[in-house]
Amino acid sequence: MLCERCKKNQATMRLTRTVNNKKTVVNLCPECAREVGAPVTTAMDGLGSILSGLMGLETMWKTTPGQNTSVKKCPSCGMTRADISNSGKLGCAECYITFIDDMRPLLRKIHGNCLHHGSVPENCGSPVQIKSDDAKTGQVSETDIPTIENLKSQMQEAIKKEDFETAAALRDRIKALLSDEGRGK
Amino acid sequence: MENWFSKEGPEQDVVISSRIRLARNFKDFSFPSLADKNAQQKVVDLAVKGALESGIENMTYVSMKDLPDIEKEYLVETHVISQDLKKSKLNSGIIVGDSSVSVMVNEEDHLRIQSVLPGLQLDKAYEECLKYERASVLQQNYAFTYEFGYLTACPTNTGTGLRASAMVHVPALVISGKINSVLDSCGKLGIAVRGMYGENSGSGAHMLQISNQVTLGQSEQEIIASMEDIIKQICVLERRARTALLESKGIYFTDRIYRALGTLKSARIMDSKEGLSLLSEVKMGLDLGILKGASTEELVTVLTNVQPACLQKMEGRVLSPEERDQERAKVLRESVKNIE
Repeated sequence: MLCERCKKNQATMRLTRTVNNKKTVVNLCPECAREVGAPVTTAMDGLGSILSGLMGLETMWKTTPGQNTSVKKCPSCGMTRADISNSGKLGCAECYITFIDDMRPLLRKIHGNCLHHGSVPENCGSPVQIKSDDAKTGQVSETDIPTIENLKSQMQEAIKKEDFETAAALRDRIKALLSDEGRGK
Repeated sequence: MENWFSKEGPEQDVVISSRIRLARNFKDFSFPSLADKNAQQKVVDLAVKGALESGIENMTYVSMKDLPDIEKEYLVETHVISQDLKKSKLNSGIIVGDSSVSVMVNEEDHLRIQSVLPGLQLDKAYEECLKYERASVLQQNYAFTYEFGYLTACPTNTGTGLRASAMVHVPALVISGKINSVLDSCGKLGIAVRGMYGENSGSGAHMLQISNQVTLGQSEQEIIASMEDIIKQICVLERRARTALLESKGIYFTDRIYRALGTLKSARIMDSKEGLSLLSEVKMGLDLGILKGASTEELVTVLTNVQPACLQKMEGRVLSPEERDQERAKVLRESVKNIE
């Protein structure tokens, strides 16, 4: 179907407007839709902007001109926070660990929860772990192999600082580790 | 591979099909959009090894670049592959075999394992997917953490990687306007609802696709059970609305169904939208026992077959839009000739 406004391009969307209980429907191409002020977003645009909102990226854009060297990159695939929020997607499994402080609140916002309760692969001997520079130099990052003891002390710290969101996330992780131990994983 | 649409299934007067999709990635390679050619090939190799190990008969890998456009379009129309896979420039492909399970390789995630079954059979479709998903060569390599579950390219799939969806035929809810309250409730329960068979024809065919949005924090069984509960509720509401329409509108309602059948029996030119909308009415007539002469699954097969690529595949050549509309009218006349 051709766009009913310009009569040139293919119409890809239907705009329905109700004014004084009178409904009008018009088929438009994306260009005309934009010109008449219809809200035009593709699925990906929408997701990208939602993610950047969720990840608090607007504030980051404002504060980091010329500071690109300090931008954190995934050691495995090179994705930055900005890349992720622009595309709405992560680059590899390690992105989850690299940006773990963003991922926990993000996943909680999307799913209302950030702790997996589903199936666990058999023979899952080595789940994804960080391979950062710390690991190469022999120092093991705390996010790498979290022990229940040091997670508990981190949780106490967070409670002292009244950072209850972090505390809750840590509590969930401790619970997960305990139940994994219970399941013999 | 088995065609879901030509078989009988539970609750099929309302639920056309059930689909389970599991997103999985391998931990040693970047997700497809960032993986280099070597990594993409290794993913394909692993996916094929998984197929051999799964024990599903005759599983074969078909590369997207070896598939003619019309075949790709056909696979999209029968919901075996996505639009994204069809357009993919990566080393991507599809694994199919003698079951309802198919696997998209190097789509948004390394593996998109899916099973489509007729009627409401989400739990069965999930079991089917597991036959492939549980292959140990795959299990050892999944990108997984205990905290986040299965890791996916898009955080909206993280956790179980499970999308459970059903295509429902709800003409009476649409005609009576009751669909809006159903849509509202679905929204509140975190369930996504979309029109089916493309944006333009979705409303006419009275088909909706409903699926879970939350993939993290619930077990696979919990997600599937709550989807099945909600879908069963929709079935109850739709049946009630059908009976109410029949009782309150009586002859007007019956007239509408017979007119749809009359048009399908006589028309010489039929576009996709009109064809689907008339078929929708005839299906409702059959489901309610007003019409006789065809089963639900026969009608669903027709619904699938009158799509552009399906028509061209049956005809064995590329058809112009005008030729397609004539061919569609012919196929429809033939399909409904015994319905009365």
